[in-house]
Amino acid sequence: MRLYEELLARLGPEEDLAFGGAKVVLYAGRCAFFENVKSIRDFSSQGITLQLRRGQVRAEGEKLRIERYGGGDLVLTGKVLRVEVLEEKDT
Amino acid sequence: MMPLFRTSFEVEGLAPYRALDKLATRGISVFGVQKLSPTRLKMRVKSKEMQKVFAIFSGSCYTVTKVRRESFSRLRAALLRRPGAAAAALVFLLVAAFGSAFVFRVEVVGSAAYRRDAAEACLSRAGVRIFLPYDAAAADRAERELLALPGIVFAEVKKSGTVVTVTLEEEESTPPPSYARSLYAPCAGRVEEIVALRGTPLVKAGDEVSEGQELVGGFYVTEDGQTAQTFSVARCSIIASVTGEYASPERSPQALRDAVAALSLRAGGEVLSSQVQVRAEGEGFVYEVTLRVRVRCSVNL
Repeated sequence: MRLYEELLARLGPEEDLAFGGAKVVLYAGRCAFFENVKSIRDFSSQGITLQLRRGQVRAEGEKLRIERYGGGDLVLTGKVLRVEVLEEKDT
Repeated sequence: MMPLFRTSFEVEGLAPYRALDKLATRGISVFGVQKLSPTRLKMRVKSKEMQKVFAIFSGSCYTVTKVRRESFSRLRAALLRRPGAAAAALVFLLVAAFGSAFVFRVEVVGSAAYRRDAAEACLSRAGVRIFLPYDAAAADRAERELLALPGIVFAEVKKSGTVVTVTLEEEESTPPPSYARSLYAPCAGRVEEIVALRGTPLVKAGDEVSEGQELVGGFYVTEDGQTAQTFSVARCSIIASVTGEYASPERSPQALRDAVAALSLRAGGEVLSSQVQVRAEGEGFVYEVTLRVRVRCSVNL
């Protein structure tokens, strides 16, 4: 993925990025893909809070639906309007 | 992507999304999660994992209800959205499955392929026809009928796809070898020896013969006096005298030898004796050479 290559080229091959780091891929207004999800804090059609290995992430929007969840990956579909990193701490 | 074979169910509990974590930690992926109410979630899992889901939630505070198999639901929905495409796909499958059962072409191959009309007539009488279903029993009948055709030594009827191939092979008759019938004298002379293993000798030793004269005839006389045709197997040697003249600018032993050699090459055979007379003519000499040669000839030996 060219975007990933550019990011890694700028930030360097940090362990967090390569292994276990929280990754979010957002297709604005359509869906979002989350990697290394540990659990779901709360979920509704307007928002979802995910506990990642380091920190939490909240996604908000409309008519949200968990398209797939398993193996640490979560695909959120619907009108995803914003993604916010809430806090960053090890869990 | 939603799995093809899946089961949908609803989970009810105080924090139903924690049920998702419970499943995720046990290695079960959930799909299409919808929040129906603050305490109820609808989700889907692979149908083969449904038993595991029940096992995970048994004895827990979650209630699993309304289990429904959704296998092929997307396919059904797609077919309903496009009935024309679905019908075309069905027709294609039927044609592909059953079309090969029909005969659409007949090919005739082999050394007797030129007898295509007769082959097609046999096929038609037996029941193998274009645009009709292929019948193996009819093909066997056609094979028997084809073998009964005059000159046919091999017949086979095979079907591959929608093409029936008829292989016809006819008898190959080998022409008999041609033998010379008679022995003829290659030159004039006197017969020294004649041996006939087959055929009838027409001359004997000591006879004078001319060039081209028949020496051994291709026939024999049966016991009851009938003449039967055959081919000759015989050999003969003739003593012939050959004369020739050769010009040379000089009179010398070499020129004499050359004259004798030239005539012996022309005469062929084995030289028995030679006689040379030299005369002067103009500015050179003429060598008149006479050779006595033995010429051997044979037929079918």
